[in-house]
Amino acid sequence: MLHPSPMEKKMEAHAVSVFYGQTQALYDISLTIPARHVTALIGPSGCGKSTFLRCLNRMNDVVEGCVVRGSILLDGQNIYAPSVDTVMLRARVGMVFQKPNPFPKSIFDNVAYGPRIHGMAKTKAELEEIVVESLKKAGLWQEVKDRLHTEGTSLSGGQQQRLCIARSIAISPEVILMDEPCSALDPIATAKIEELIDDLKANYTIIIVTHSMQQAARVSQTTAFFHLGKMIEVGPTDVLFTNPKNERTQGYITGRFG
Amino acid sequence: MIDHKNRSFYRRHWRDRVFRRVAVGCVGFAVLALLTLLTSIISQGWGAFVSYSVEIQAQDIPPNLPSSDRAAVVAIITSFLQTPVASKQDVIRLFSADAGSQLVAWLKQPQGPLRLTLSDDADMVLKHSYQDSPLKAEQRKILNDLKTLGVVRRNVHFTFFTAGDSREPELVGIYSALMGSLLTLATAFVMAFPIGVMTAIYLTEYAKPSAWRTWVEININNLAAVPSIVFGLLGLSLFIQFLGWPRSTPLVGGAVLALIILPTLVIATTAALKSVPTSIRMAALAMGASKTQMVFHHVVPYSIPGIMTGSILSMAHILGETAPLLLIGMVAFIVDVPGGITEAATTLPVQIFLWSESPERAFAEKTAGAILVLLVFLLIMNALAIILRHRHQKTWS
Ligand SMILES: Nc1ncnc2c1ncn2[C@@H]1O[C@H](COP(=O)(O)OP(=O)(O)O)[C@@H](O)[C@H]1O
Ligand SMILES: [Mg+2]
Repeated sequence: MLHPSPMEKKMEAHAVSVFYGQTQALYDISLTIPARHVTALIGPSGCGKSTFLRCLNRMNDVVEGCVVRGSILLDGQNIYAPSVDTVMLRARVGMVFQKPNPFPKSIFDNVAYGPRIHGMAKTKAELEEIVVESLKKAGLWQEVKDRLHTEGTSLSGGQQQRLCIARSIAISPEVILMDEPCSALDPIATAKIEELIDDLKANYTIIIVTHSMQQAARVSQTTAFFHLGKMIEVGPTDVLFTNPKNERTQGYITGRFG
Repeated sequence: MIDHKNRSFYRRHWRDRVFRRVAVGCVGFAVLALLTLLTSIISQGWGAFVSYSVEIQAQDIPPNLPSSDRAAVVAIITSFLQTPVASKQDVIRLFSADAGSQLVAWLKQPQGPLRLTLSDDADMVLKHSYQDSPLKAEQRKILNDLKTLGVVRRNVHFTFFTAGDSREPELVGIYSALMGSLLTLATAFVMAFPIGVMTAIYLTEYAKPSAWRTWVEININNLAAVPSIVFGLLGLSLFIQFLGWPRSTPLVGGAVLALIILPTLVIATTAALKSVPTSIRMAALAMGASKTQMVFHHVVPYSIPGIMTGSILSMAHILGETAPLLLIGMVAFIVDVPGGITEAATTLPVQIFLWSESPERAFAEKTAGAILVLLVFLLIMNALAIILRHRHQKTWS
């Protein structure tokens, strides 16, 4: 029942190659991202996980000298088509970064920023409702409800990361990209975020980059293994970890390199 | 082996001690130089803020004064002293040129005692008891008699803050120059701030790296190193000779000073913008903000403390600027407060320069006093910049 078939496809990458100037960082990646699912990207550092993730919301556009080839579909539409506006795309595909990066504004303004620029709330009450809802979904409401107007940067690292998640949820994205969201956090904060990811997958499609195989095993249903810019293997998480087909995958998950 | 190690150990310690002593010596020298400067200026300049005058009570003023105000002053003093004086000139020269009008004003509205300001020479003798004063022996005697009778008073010299320039040192003030400085600085700020900030925003946030951008940046950095007098020459030929703007005015002075601070302002703003971390920019873009939204909702607002600090420091820089203003003719003798930026004006440092060239001894203390005021303003501005920087230091998570 974990993988009801046929799975609804949320995003599809077709033969994606990425170049940073002269050097190629990704080679012909083709990957299907199922909807309302957690897909984990694992692999040794420098193998191109972040690069691939940034292709999915076109954040690579702002990287100087970065060229993306191939196509990526969101609900069947190529996000690299000339008609696609990155502003609209990023409103649908949110992103949470490795290091928590709240704006140096109040907690409220951090979460309200997205709805404000996308004109999602007509009244103040509507905006407040979105902010409260998002903070609740991100599991932060109880901790911050009495200090919505203190600086977001005054929170602890784990709270800041959940604030960043609340901030991206606030614009009701369909997909949330997370690039090693727990690597700067302690184990307790990590457990909270993992729990949160598990809750969020009911409504959102989540793609998470992680360097921790335990984390991939705990939170994801599908895992893709990257190595030296190539996608080596992809499959249901439990299968990939217990019964990898490729020997490089096996080498990585058994800790022979990494 | 051990001996060798020991020797290097001692040598290291010895070096450490020497370095420390040299460093402490340098700091001590710097502090000493600063203290010497301050004590010298204060000891010379305190006199600018106090003045001596003669106060005669109403009942001591004889009736039937002569119609000429100066003669009336002499009559009042001689009747008060109750001793005949050899020369009326000796008496009147003890008082400021303003004494006559002070009497006239008092006669119109006799409230409290009549206060007559002493001349600069008398004032200096009372402050410093000079032996080589231009005062004659008879004048000194009169002054002494007045002092013994207890009518010579020391007051805070408010005139120094309320008057403009004058030929008489006891009547000069910094007010006109201060207002001139204010108008000139405001003009410079209004001209330079928008251009400087927009340039910096464009160069750091929008311009793609290119040979052209590098060229512009190098030239801006070079401009910051150009001596200010060169900008004065440029202002003279561009604003006055070519554009025909009125010389000696805050308009031209402000334009020249704007040119001087423009590169500094661009550099300070650029530094402030660049200090906003990439992670914040990425966060904004990933939220679906456009480039311009990212810049104007995040990068610029978070840079405002840095931009303000840079602006205040550049204002402090041009507050003391003198040479370029001399070139565009702001050396005029300005008595009145300038009514606008197109009227002739002078600025505080130029006023200081003018007074420093005056031969009268009393102008020395006015010069030092004005320098003190200038230093106080600079100190306030620098303190403001430091406070701003500390109070609004952003923590980026
Ligand atoms: N902005 C960039 N410019 C040039 N090369 C980059 C850039 N970002 C990443 N790379 C290169 O691309 C490769 C993949 O990097 P990345 O996607 O960050 O790997 P991962 O996230 O798996 O650790 C690395 O070799 C890295 O050096
Ligand atoms: Mg990475």
